[in-house]
Amino acid sequence: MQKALRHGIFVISLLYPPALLVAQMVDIRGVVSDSITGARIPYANILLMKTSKGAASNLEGFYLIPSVAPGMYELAASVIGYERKVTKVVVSPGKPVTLNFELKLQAVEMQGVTVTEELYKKIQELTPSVHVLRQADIRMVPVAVQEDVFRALQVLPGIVSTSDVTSQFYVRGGAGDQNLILLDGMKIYGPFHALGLFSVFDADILQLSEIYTGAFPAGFGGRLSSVLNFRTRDARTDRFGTNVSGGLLSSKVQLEVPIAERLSWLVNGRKSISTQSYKKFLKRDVPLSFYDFFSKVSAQSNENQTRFSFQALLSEDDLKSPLPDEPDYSWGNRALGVSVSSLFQDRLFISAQAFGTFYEARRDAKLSLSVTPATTSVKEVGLRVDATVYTDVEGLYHIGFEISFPTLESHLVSLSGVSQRVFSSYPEMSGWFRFQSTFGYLKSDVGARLNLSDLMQRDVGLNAIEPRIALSYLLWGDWKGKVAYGRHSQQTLAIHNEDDLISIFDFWIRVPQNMKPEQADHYIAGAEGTLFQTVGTSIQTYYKRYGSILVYNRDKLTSFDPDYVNGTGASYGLELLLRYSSSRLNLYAAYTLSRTTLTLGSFTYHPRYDRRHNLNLLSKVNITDDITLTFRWELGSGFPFTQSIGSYDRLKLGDHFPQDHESETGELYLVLGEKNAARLPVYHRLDASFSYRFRVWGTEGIFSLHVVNAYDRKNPFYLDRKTGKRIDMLPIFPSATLQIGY
Amino acid sequence: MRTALYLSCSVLLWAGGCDDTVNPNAPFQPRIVVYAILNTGTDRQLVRTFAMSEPPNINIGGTEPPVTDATVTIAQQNTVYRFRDTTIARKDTSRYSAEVQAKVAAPFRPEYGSEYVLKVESPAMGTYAARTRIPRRGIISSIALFILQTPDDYKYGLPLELKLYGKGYVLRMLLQYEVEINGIWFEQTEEVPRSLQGRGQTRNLYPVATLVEAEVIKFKWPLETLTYTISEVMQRYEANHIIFKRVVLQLRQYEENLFNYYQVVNGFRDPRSIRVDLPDYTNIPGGLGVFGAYTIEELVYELPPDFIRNR
Repeated sequence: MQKALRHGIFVISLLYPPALLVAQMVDIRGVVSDSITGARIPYANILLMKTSKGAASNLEGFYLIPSVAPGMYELAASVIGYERKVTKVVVSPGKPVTLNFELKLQAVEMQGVTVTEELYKKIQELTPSVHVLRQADIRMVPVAVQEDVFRALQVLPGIVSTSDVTSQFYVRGGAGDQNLILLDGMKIYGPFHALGLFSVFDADILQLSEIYTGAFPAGFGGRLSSVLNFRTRDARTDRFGTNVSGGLLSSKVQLEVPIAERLSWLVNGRKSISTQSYKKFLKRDVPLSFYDFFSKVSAQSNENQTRFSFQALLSEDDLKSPLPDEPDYSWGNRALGVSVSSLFQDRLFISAQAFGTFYEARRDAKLSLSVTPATTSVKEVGLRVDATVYTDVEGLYHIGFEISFPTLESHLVSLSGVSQRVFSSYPEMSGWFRFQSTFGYLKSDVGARLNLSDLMQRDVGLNAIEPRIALSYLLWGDWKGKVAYGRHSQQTLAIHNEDDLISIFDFWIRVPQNMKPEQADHYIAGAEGTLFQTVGTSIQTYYKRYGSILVYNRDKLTSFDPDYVNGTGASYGLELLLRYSSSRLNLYAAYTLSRTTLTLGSFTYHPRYDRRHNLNLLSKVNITDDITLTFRWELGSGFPFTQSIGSYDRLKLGDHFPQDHESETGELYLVLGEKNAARLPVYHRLDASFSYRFRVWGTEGIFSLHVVNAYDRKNPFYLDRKTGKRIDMLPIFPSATLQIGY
Repeated sequence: MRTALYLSCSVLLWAGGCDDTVNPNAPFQPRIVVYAILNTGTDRQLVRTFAMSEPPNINIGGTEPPVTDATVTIAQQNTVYRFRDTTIARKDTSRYSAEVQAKVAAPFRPEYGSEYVLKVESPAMGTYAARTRIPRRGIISSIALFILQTPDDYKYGLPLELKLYGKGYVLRMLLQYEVEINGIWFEQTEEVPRSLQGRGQTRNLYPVATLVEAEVIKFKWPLETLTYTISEVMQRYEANHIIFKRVVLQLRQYEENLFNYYQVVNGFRDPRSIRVDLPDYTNIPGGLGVFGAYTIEELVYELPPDFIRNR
């Protein structure tokens, strides 16, 4: 194995001769970490003062400034939330300098707005459609029952949710299954608890969340619309830590255990305690119970910039109805992952993740006449390796590959009693290349992803190559113009009823072998900079063309006709983001104008999640160092829905004994109008939170009061077609949480 | 500051007071529902007409909204069959208790291969027309019907050949027998499954309407299903005398519209379908329901009086 690794590194080195060039100039490199907990800090800004040279730490906290002339320098490291640190460094000819930074937390953390200025700028340097959420950002969004990263990201431009009840989200007109969800590199297929009320990722385990909403870099693939790359945090290494909290739905415990120097263990568990709160959300008793558990062992060496972690996620949900004719549901995730990253040669940094994930859902029909038993599962093991090669010029090469083996299996029973097994097991292989460089005012990130599995298993030809291009040009001041293009494909997708309000039971399938994989081209253009020297501003337009997407075969008549056929689609929009941040006041405004259509033959319709206007206003007022008020107001135009135009008793014609149809009483069938031709009323809602931070006997606590839908707006959730009854979303909903940590 | 506060409160009160109404229903436009299914196996044809309701429609205890003023005719070239009102006893009265209101024409036996035009005229709901063509007579044959005498001895099944002209078909095997109960003989019919439980099936499978893929189809009907059915009957009436009379092979051919309708409303009759929506089908322009037809042909094998399983 080691021999193979050495060979691999040698090959990469040959491909990138700049990596071998070592002249008189030397590199400065190291890691940036928290001075107390030892946790690595990504996206820190490292600046060689009085020069134009600098670097940003990567997700592993590693940075490298190439080709520094011998001499004496001052090196400054800064990142939001930490005190800036300046260190003197002497650079001698011929020998790279290793300089690690341990940054101290600021006394009072300057929690930024949802997308913090500094992080935003750093990451958005090139990629136009990426947002970053830290733990503090997740906490800032007022909540109903649980802080949740999926709820927090719904304030971002381009992301919409169709209800207060579910965390399911839709990115730039893409369906819910078009979002790739990674937790420390582990793919998670069923990330929702409690019918989607919130995710299985407790906010306390997350260090950083990257959300790519379009034209994502070549290192990501397999989904059409977005990537949610969650990085969990390491446990603190200086002392034992604990955190206990309780809310309306669940209680949780988190332990941080230092095992040895730079070796630590994080354990986090959550368990439901009461189902009464669901009644408020779902308008009925829902006997739901759940738990999730996350564990992570991390080890790191600052000397050779090596980092290792082993992480596991378990989650389980049970929805058991007391009624004998109502089905029971259960679903759960098991995921294991190992991550390793290290500087292997002077300028070659490699990070690798191996993972295994298992998602399983069951439906027990019990005595239900309308539902049959079913199980579905996704098993997948995979390996992802990404190598970064630093060059003399301001350029970075990334090369990597990903190989995984999904096994999708569903057992279904048709209403006629036939059981069937839908099974597919296949390799997904892809490799990518990226080059990031700077030419004067122009920064570029050019790469491509080669979808090897599509190339070998389907007749896709050149479509297996997915180019990814992002360009950024400094226009004036700090204003930059940006364009990006990306081609994306997807062959693993979830099947559900397009018109379901809450999808309880999705099952994953592979796009049938005789059909094209789903494919989308993203085109993005925009500009960003600072208005009036204080207001961070970003404006973006996007056009997403679905060259191929799986849609219902509306012309299916017999069992020989396919259930699904390839359709097309398009989504385009405009996004505007304004941010203002000061020590006492943070303001954030995001507006999205968008339009999405799906087309099958001559029939075109708007999907259920197509929202024309969406506005999110967020403000955070630090009244004192310990008291904070936050407000969120959301305004969205109505979602499309299909109106009923009538109902009739539809005869099923029995089993064809003579004249069965003559005496049959049909089943009530609702005749629907044009698909999604009508719109629900405008949605708006104000949420507010008050939080008070206190310290008692060496412990630190946060007491929070939240009120969701402060002015009790009656936003329609759905209309029961059979009764005509209107069900509204959340009414005014106050809640409180208490969190105590040591 | 105070002004801003008042303004904010006013906006919130205004916003909270908004309770936009939403209508789940599009403006209602009446449509007629017609079920006219012609059958070559009888001299009496029946048409059901009723109206689409404004949603929602749960008329427990009532009936389908009748179209009382409708005139129904079915024409074949120059021959016009006029339908008159009738009522039919409802099979299941759990939802509607009233009898089915229908229209009947007799004597009227559709001819194989002929085209028929349905016309429904209602002063209140308008005029609707649709066409259907009766499939040509299908043929069912077997070179080895005699093996039905001793089904236990033939593991390879009953060879059958069908000649088909419809869009869909179903071939059913019916076992007819007489059973003596309290001294009285009753004639009974039992359908023979196409395949038995096990081998990936949770229950016995009976024939369902299937797309005609070729004009001539040859296959074998496994006779283990017949012996299974005979055993089932004998177990059910274990203390009674039973005489197995005959095996009937019944072929139904469906014309295109009826077949399409039947497939769609029954989830495409596709055991492998992973669709979860509920589509609809009609061939009545402007209306709902179906105007279709089916034919029935039978091949009858009389079992010998000394059939081994008679008791």
